[in-house]
Amino acid sequence: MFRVNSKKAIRRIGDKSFWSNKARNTIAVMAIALTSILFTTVFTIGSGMMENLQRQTMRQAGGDGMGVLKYITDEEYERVKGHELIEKISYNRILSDSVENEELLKRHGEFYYMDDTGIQLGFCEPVEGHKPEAENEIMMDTRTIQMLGIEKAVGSPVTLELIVHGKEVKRDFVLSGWWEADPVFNVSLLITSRAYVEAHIDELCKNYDAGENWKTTGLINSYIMFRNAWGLEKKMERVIVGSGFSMDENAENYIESNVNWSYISGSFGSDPVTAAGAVIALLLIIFTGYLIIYNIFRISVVKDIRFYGLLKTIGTTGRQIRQIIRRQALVLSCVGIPLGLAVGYVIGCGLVPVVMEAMVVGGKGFRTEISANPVIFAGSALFSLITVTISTTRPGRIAARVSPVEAVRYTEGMEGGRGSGRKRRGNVLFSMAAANFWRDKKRTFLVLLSMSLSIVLLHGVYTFSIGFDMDKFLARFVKTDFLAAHAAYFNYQYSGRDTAVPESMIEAMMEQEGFEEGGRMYANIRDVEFFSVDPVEGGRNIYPETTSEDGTMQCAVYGMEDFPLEKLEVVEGEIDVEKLKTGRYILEGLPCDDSGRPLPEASHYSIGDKAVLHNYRGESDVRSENRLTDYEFEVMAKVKVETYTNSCGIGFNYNFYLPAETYKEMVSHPAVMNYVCNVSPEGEAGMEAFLKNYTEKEAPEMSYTSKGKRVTEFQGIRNMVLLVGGVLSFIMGLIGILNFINSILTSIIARRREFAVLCSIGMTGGQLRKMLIMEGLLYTVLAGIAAFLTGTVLAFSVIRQLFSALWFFSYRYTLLPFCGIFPILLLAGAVIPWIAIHFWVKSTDINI
Amino acid sequence: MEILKTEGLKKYYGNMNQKGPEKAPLVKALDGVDLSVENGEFVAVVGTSGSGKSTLLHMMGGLDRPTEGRVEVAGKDIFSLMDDELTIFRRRKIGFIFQSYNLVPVLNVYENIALPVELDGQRPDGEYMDRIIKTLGLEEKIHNLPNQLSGGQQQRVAIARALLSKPAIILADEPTGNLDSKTSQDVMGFLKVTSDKFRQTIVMITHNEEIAQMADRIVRIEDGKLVANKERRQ
Repeated sequence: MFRVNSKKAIRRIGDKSFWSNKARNTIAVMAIALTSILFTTVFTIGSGMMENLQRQTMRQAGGDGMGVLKYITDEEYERVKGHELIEKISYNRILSDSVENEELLKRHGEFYYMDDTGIQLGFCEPVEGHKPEAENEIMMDTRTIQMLGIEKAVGSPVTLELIVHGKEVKRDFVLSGWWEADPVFNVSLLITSRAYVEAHIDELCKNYDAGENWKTTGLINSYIMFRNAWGLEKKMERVIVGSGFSMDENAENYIESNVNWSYISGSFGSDPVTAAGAVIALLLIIFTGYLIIYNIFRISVVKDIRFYGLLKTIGTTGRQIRQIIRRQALVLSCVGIPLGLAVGYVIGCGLVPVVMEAMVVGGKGFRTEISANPVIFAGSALFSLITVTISTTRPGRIAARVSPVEAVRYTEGMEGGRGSGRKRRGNVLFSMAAANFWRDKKRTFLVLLSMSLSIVLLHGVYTFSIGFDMDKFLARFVKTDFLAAHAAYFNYQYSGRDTAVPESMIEAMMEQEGFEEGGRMYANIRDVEFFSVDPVEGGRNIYPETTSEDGTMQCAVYGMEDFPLEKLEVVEGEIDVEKLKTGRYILEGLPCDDSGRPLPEASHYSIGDKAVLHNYRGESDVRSENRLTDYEFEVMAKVKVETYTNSCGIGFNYNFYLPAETYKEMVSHPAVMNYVCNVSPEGEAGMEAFLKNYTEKEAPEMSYTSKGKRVTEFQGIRNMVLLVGGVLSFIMGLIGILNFINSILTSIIARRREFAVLCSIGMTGGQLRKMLIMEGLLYTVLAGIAAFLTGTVLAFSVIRQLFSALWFFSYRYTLLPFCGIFPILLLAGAVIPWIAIHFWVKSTDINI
Repeated sequence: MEILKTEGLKKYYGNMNQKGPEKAPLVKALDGVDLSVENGEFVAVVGTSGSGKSTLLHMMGGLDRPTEGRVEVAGKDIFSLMDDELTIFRRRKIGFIFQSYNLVPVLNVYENIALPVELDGQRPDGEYMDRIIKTLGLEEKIHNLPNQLSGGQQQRVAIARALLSKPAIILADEPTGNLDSKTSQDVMGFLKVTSDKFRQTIVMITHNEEIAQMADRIVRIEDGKLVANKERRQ
């Protein structure tokens, strides 16, 4: 048998046929590019989110070290730092037990010396000024500068009130520089120089006591970077044990350590919902890409079927023909994919900040950084290539299987006859258009599917986004226009007296213009006068830690002034305010699920049951010095506990509501947990401005929330969904339209001869145009109808079922996306064939 | 009565205004053709390939515009018409039969036959159509698609299509070119019958002398010029 090296010849034939297919190539490149844009956009958003969430976790953790050795000494640091696994290690020395400046109450301060590695890993590189050098130099972030109320200038004097080994000291510094504050990082780092460490080396080197009394002055935290993030825990262990220390907590030479959880990859994707969402998105894109790329290649193969038949006749094997087609697809991918990667990356980068802003608490002004992660490009390119390969395999097989004899006779869409009768209804042009439309059923089906897919997606996204129910959202977060409380309250750390709302603030709020009505909510949750209750036998106990030694259970008791009292939502029984205020009655609070339904078994009492409460009431700060007092109440009604509006946000098995009058008699120092009020619509902006200024400048430890803030937050989330969904649907829509254009163009080219015949037997240019426009309209109208039906069915089934589980979702059916898209579809259906035939008529002399 | 007349018909290809040594050679496809066809006449135009016979047919049918000269069909100078007017004139006054039948693949036989009339917004004359279909022996095939027919059957459909609009003239371009000799005879027979029965004027182009013998008159064309004009009719 001869072995013939036919590669060259095959390549030549393939290239020749490739270059003769310019229109197909252009459209195929566009299709591949669009598919690759979709992949890249999704990958960029995914990677950007992962990266930023990771970074956010790192920032919250205070650095991007892969691991940290905690509270080590100089000696221990010296022994560890040379370990072979360590790429970089930082030296962060804690210089005081705590920072006591009042201005830093809301965002507590930590006083450090950091070497360059520490500064780099802690995101503390100064953007202005320089790193501290002299003994009295210090740098901090912009937020700290603002909170301390010092001038933002190099050389500004700063005084720190420090606790060093339990003793208060005041030290003066000058500002050497600062870095931009990060809204998610809730600690004020104050970084001084090596010179400071050397000058105070005595106080730093004695009495390490990180254990019981938390005297951390002088201890070192070392952040470690390894070469990569694989097997962090093992590496950490090897470093510690290899340096002669132990990870056993009870060992003499124990070193406390931690690996950075934000590096444990998979923590993001491991969430099954996110993972499923990602898989569905990828499959959807592959499918979208398949619909068009497959269609393009199929049409082109069918068109050139005689050519492939000829190749077969002259001795080309099926495998060689498949090779030709694969090679063509590869060449087209080489142009289309890089194009798509570039455009998709740009789109993705534009979308990441929007997504992050909506997803991250305090996301406004969140610094998003998107690095050109090679994974984005490699992944997108790979998936695009997979899509192209899948899409061209079948057309390749069709071409490879063609028999030389059949090829000559093969014309598209010639299967079978239509049983159309003698009498035909309607217009001859329309029936020709309809016949042509169905001529290649597969092509028609693919185009219809491709076009309707994006509409269905857009409709889904839109239905989802309008399902975001502002009322439900607001009902959960706000019951009143404004709510003011200590910053600790918003972090679920409200305790009592020390985190109460001062009367001065309440008075100032009441003086604001437009103030209508307001009321205090009292609670002493974790101060000496906290309440406990005699638990009901067999009652639900999901917070066992609230059980005291004496068998009583810590509980939350709230004293409500009339305004918040009126807002309580009754679940069972009835509130008779006058009767309630007699002091003999109490309301039981029932914790609710996300949708506002009381949790099962949340209730411990029946209406009319007795509830017995206790507290150590008195003036002293020491509990035992106060007097144990018992109270007996009759349960009048049951109301909902709402995390964000009428509770401290901390979970208790028992929750009670009392009128403020009764409550104040039970506690010597009733603490105001929050103050809620409504203002007239004209007064809203004024109150907002007042509170903003007040909580930033006058009392930075205080904070507030408002309807306006929540509305903005809500709209941010909704717009994010709409924008991201909209952009993706738009690109899919482009793919659908491109598929349509390709289908119309190729069909016109394939029917050139037929048109010439029609013209010769008397079809005018106008009639030809009309027929093609009808054909185009058939596509778009049917795609629209298909999308409408599918979209409606999906909306009523999947979207309603799936998303109604979300507490902020109220299903609403909408026709709006269809109404918006149908005119565009109709226009495209008419204009595209019109343009195509216009050029055809121009470019051809009617010639048969 | 004269139904078709050409006067000094010329068609040149190549750029006549181009100058210099690279001037493309001028091709004279038709070089002054004067031809006159009487009503009801069956004329065969014979010539070798490249003689200009197809060009002549295209000119007569208004499918292409001449460089010079005029064509009158039923007394109308067809090139004085605008494109769309010409198309409409063509579908009312001129029928075509092509070598490759040129049926519309998505339409069945009946629809193909009725197409030119329907394109004109008319309803086909049922009785006349039945007669044509019967004459051409297509009664059994009217629901079939073109690809379900043999070549001869397809050509008969094309003849029927050309006849239905009762055109002033039918132009046939090598109507038997794709057929074997037996079928060719059949198709020619049908053409002849048509010409006689419906008093249809037909101008047929062919390179086949034998086929041409069936026409009333044979016109010979060579290098774009008519060289002989032989009356066969007794």
